Amino acid sequence: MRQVLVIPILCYLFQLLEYACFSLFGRWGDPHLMLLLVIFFYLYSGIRFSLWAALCAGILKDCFSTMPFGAHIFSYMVCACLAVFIRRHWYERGSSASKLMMVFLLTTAHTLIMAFLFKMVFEEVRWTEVLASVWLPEMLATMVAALFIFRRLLDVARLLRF
Amino acid sequence: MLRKIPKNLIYVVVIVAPFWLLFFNSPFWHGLKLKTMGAAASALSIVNVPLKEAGILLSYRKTYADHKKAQRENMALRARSVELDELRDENVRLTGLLGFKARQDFLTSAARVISRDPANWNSSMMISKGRAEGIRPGMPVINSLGVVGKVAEVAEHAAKVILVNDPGFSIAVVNQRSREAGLLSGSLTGKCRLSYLPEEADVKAGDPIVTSALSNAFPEGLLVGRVVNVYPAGGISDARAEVKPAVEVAKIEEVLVVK
Repeated sequence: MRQVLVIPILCYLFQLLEYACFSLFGRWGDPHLMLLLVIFFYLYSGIRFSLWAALCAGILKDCFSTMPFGAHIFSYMVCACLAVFIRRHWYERGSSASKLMMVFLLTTAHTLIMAFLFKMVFEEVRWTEVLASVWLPEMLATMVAALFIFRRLLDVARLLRF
Repeated sequence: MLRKIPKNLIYVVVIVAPFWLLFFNSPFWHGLKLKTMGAAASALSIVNVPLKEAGILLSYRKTYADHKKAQRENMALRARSVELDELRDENVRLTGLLGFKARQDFLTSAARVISRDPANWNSSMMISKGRAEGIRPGMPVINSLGVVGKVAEVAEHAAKVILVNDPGFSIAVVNQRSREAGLLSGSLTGKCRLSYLPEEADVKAGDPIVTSALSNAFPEGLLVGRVVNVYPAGGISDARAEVKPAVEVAKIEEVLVVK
């Protein structure tokens, strides 16, 4: 029960943190914290909590986005489901490298899903722009921050005993 | 609590819910979106205070360089302003002589920028005025440098502005030098694209692009940006030039909403 309440609060705080990073460092210094939250809750608590995190994070993202409402919810939920597949086949428990690999694969998957939704809305997707302006900065910043964020979230989880 | 829900039910919800959200535009979600926007506005205003100070401290070197550059530009502009005063007087005299209707002034409402959306897929920001202050969707948003964007959604005391470099933004424009009209739209790179120009259109890097009379929402003659790259005609897409917006969207603090 405690997790169910903590997840929306963490999503809200992470949204503010993303905003702070974006304002200070621009797109190259803005890790995808919401996606990290979805991955963390999958690894720590399982798919149900990961999906709940995906829903909360998606709603918050969609509220501020100019994409149709539901685009981020859809993308995060698919990422949460993909995490199950990645964990089953490639993930090694306790290994930092496999955590980073999961982050890399899910950041890429999220970018691809958003690109297809973007194509549905705007009809034209320039893949070079998507790679250079969206995927690369997002992936690099998220990979750099991932392990640190996971450790801090683990501290929070221990502190709140969920 | 969530552990008690059967897994199959969760998977069904996962498949159905996003499609329902994406393809059925429910007023409930729209209401939730506006309420969340309004609620987030106050928290973001608080976060903004230390961020602004940190930003000032982090960019002191650039600020100093900008200050020196601005001083030099100021000197040049002062000299130019005398010349322009002369031209304005002459213009007033000639306009009166020809009996042209005076250019219409427009009503504006000043608003503070609360936040910018930290996303790479779109470019939007929230401003501190909403429905209660008479702001409506579709209203143009400008500042002293030129076009900023247009109001997309309105909460009670906050509004979401779609910025000029958002892929969903487009506006009828005209090249101020050659007077050729086209359509300007945003892109993922942070710059804009100028398209639907005639094949033999005369476009050069540095050309100022201003709003056209064909644009119903925006007043005519507002600076939108300057051409930075020109693409050859007959390419894969209709885009003929890349335009850098006149406003630096990352640095906007106050805007004017044209009513």
